[in-house]
Amino acid sequence: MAQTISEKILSNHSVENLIAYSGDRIDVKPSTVLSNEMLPMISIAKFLQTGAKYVKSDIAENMLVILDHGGFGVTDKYIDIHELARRFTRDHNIKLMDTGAGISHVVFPELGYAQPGYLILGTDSHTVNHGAFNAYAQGIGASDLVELMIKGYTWLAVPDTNLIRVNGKLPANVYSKDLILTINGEKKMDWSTDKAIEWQGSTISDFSLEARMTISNMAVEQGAVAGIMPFDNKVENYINSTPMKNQSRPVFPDKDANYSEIFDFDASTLSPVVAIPHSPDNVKPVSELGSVELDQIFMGSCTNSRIEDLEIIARILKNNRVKVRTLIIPGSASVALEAVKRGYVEIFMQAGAIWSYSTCGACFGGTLGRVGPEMTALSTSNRNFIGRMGGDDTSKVYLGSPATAAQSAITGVITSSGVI
Amino acid sequence: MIELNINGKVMKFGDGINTDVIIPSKYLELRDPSIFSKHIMEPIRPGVFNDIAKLGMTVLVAGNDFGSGSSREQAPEALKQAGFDAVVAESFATIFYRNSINVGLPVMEIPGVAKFVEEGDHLSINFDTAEVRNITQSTSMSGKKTNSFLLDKLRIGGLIPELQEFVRRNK
Ligand code: SF4
Repeated sequence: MAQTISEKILSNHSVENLIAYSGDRIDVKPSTVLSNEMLPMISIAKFLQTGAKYVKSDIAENMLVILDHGGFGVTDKYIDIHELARRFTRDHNIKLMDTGAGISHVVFPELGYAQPGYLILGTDSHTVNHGAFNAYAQGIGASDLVELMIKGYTWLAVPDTNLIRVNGKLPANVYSKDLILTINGEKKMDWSTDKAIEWQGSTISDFSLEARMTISNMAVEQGAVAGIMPFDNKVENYINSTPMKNQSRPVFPDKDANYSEIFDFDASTLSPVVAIPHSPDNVKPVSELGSVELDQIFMGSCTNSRIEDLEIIARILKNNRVKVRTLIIPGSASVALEAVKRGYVEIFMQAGAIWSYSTCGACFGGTLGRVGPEMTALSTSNRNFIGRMGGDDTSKVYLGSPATAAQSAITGVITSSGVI
Repeated sequence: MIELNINGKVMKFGDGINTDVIIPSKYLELRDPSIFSKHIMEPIRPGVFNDIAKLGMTVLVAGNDFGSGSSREQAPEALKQAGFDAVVAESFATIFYRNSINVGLPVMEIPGVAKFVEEGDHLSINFDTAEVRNITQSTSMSGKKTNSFLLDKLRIGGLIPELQEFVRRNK
């Protein structure tokens, strides 16, 4: 029987070598595993509670823990949490990237942990990000990680798949962030609940891997368990530039694979958009917004903090001054280094923006850039739920592309790029 | 064996309640569920924690897409620690549903439940048959049956007790 990409990848990782179809529940062994502060905050204590002594070696070898949420020595509690992670990973031979290395979803692919055909499980809902590499990547809970560490496998429900085909050329000043916000706005937060998404079409092929990750990253904002993109030579080139090199097996859907819904989208109709408070599916064109005055702008997060994002921001901020408090957080230490080499950091600082070490930061109201009551912010991150960036239900967070954010930094009101 | 017949008074919430609302991220560093659970639902209904015990409202009823957002297992853990015996909703986000089973919090999808109950109604839920009775209004309806594989996990209190058993057997 014909299979979707998800059905193929999950079959390939079945512990019992089953050929799986949507609706099946199977035990699977992941190719790589991602974790963050969830490991020390929950999983370690639960691991010890089970009486287990060691982490299965094939999980330990393929696991990467990245301390991205808690910042660098910010609170006593996070200092303890991070130290616990260091000790546990050292004792169990698990690779750890310490605070400042970057955001897990930026660092993980940079190091080659996301490859075509891989089954990737991570204790973070934005693990779906790695679907951009033609992989099946799903977010799991901290107890699920304990199961993986003890047994070497866990169960997954093989999902139905929604196919989204995007064709057409993007208009000027429109980016992949505008595309995913628009589609999520149209389809809403639960359109793909319990389902995988497969992306196809010329617009997707035209995008760089960075731009593709922005889209697959937000698959979870329409409820999806995975968001998978096609394999092509751009994926291959990216993988070959990582320290792991190519170890993968591309997966293509069968011609008559069974999709639960097919959605065709014409990218040439897009315009710059923002998600308005308090939900990422509450989306409006910038041109219909009226004047939204900003108190703060945050450019960063696993959605938009890669070198291509910083390049767009630098192009717009060059020879300009920001009018509002503007925080720029690079996605990883290597993105930061590249930004220094290319002269972007000088541009940012001359424009009056604040440049930080790499961390999740303001995205989830963690370590820097929280907003307060009655404040309005524009962010390039993926969620604007009530209180997400701090504050309360009077704090407003808008989500937009790096271009919209940079342009708005200059004017102090939400402005789409290309307007000035 | 945990009881999979749940009786209790309803506390009702709307659609699209996400994990940042259920337990705001700033409290996660507290780590101890008995402490961070005091802050459940704070962004939309501060003080809920005290109401659960005071008003005896131990069944949470919600609308669509309950638990969307973050993968944080602390969300169902906080609801459980705060005193909810079960959560039923029109629909659930995938990771939240799985996490709830893992931490031993009974959850059931019941399309139409938002119209079926008012806050304060007395509800009786049988997880094995998926029968739901509204005792206050003398009505009944059925939810979606929870998969027996997941019910078994709930019965022993979630994933960690199951893993304890696994470790014991494989010593
Ligand atoms: S940047 Fe934001 S969405 Fe991404 S992993 Fe960090 S907190 Fe989560």
